[in-house]
Amino acid sequence: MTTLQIGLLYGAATFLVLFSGMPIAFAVGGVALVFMLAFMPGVNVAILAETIYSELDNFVLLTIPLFVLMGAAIGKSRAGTDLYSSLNRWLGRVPGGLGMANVLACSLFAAMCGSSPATCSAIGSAGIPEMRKRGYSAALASGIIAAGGTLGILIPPSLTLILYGIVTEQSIGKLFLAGIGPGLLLSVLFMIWVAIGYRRERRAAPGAGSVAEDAERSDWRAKLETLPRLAPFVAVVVVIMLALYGGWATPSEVAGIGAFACLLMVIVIYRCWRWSDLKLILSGTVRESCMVMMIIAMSFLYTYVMSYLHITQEVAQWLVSLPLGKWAFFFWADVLVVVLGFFLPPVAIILMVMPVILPALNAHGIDLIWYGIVMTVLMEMGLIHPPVGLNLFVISGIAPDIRLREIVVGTLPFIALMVAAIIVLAFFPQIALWLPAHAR
Amino acid sequence: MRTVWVALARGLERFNALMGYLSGVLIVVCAGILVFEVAVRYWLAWPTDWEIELSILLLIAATFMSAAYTQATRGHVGIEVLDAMLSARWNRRRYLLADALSMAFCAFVAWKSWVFFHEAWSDGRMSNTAWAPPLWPVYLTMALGMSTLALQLLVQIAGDHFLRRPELRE
Repeated sequence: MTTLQIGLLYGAATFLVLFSGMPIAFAVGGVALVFMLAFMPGVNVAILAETIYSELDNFVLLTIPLFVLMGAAIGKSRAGTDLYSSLNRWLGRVPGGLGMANVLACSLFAAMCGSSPATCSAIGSAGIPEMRKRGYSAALASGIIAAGGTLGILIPPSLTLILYGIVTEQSIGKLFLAGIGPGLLLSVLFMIWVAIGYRRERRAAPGAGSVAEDAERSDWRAKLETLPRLAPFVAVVVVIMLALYGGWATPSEVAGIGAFACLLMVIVIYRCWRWSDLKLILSGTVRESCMVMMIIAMSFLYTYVMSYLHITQEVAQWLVSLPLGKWAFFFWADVLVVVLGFFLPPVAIILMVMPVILPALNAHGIDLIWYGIVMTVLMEMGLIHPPVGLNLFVISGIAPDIRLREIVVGTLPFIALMVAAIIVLAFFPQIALWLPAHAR
Repeated sequence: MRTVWVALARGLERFNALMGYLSGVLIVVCAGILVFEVAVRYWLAWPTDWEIELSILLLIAATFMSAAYTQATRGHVGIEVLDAMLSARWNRRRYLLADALSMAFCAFVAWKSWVFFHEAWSDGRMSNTAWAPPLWPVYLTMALGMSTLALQLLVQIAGDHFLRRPELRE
């Protein structure tokens, strides 16, 4: 068989097996194994375990469980609710202020955890019922949380940027810095849309909701009272940023420090020291981290087989030789990422796609730090888009009475905003690249 | 026969849950080690040689040891697009196939991991670093983790597709 035929077979087999409903990790690992058995020498199969182990034996990669622990500690405590209700007091007077408070709470939460579903469930479990009580439609309320949650993988620390940095050999610290500007840009765009959407709904149905929007108008005293409650969050974010950019610690060590600080904060301030509380944090951490790490380990095996059989190289060469200009290539690469994003989680996309498109990105002179950010925004779309959209299912979980259809309707405007953000980033790459270029 | 199976399945599930919590504890311990490492390096200027490597070993161990627990709660995500498109009957058949294939894959990796562990154990293989810890313990967690994962899948296949007994379902 020619490389091209094997490659096509590999792709088709992967597609088929993924749709069987097999867990993604075992599906891609299984396809890799079958092709190893069929097309590779026996010695490669014999050292299968060693191959998987050596891919995981990477300190940067292993920050992922630590960042997951950080998110789980905050997410399983009352901290998310506190964060969100304090912000609401500050924004209560602005029309749509409650929705904006939710977006802001999501972005602050995202600065402490690197995962989208964790951000969604931490803020949404209190945020969605509150917004609906105040007359936000189910679609708008769930759209806000689904989209706000995606900021989790853009605003540092971010699990997907860590992995992207490993695969493309870019500095994780620079990628993290590059995520801040676009993260803020998206938060602002989201908040503008919340204000517009809220006004439109108000005009269509004045007085909807069981509680008036401004029922709890808070004075300065009430606002200032929230400061001590916000302080621990600010402290944790500051510690992380200082450790990271003050040169005390590598991003990997920061993951350890951040996880420890968050767990301590949750235990001391929120008094989650009982075994029943800790149990939830521990089980939440291992379930998410094991799921992600297994997908990563098996995707590494998958790309190892792809590269051994020269599929990666052939496709990459073909992509480089395509008569496409820089922006045309950029466009089609983006389409590919978005389509894959409909079915696969970000970690798998990065591992499976980047080795193939990396040579072409280099050939077209596309900045890899900048592309990392664009790719992350593209994958965010997949998170809130059916059929797989992880965030959609998280929201179905925390607000079971909202139909999936309504959630999807609510997320569509946010997908449009993400497309707009990518266009803005294409015209003004400095939004992402200014900070990493000027830090130290 | 059935009661023996039920007892075995329950025992396995308890063991997996225990390993799951233990993995969580390992991750917390690892965070503590890293705080210690940064603190002594920065303030006391002690040389650090074992902390980073130990934390990598702990996190790999945690990943494999929690695999079966994650599977017990169906935490390994898959693509569920076809769920809504096919009849309940075809979905059952599809999931039976998917679970059987997953089990076969995990069992194969488990087998190779035991071989991997055995080599490291009999050769007394050590890590290639200044600290040089023996590597068999972490390979053992990999072999054990993949084996209990395969067994967990077997229990779920039996419970979901053949026994149809509520106490064996998730």
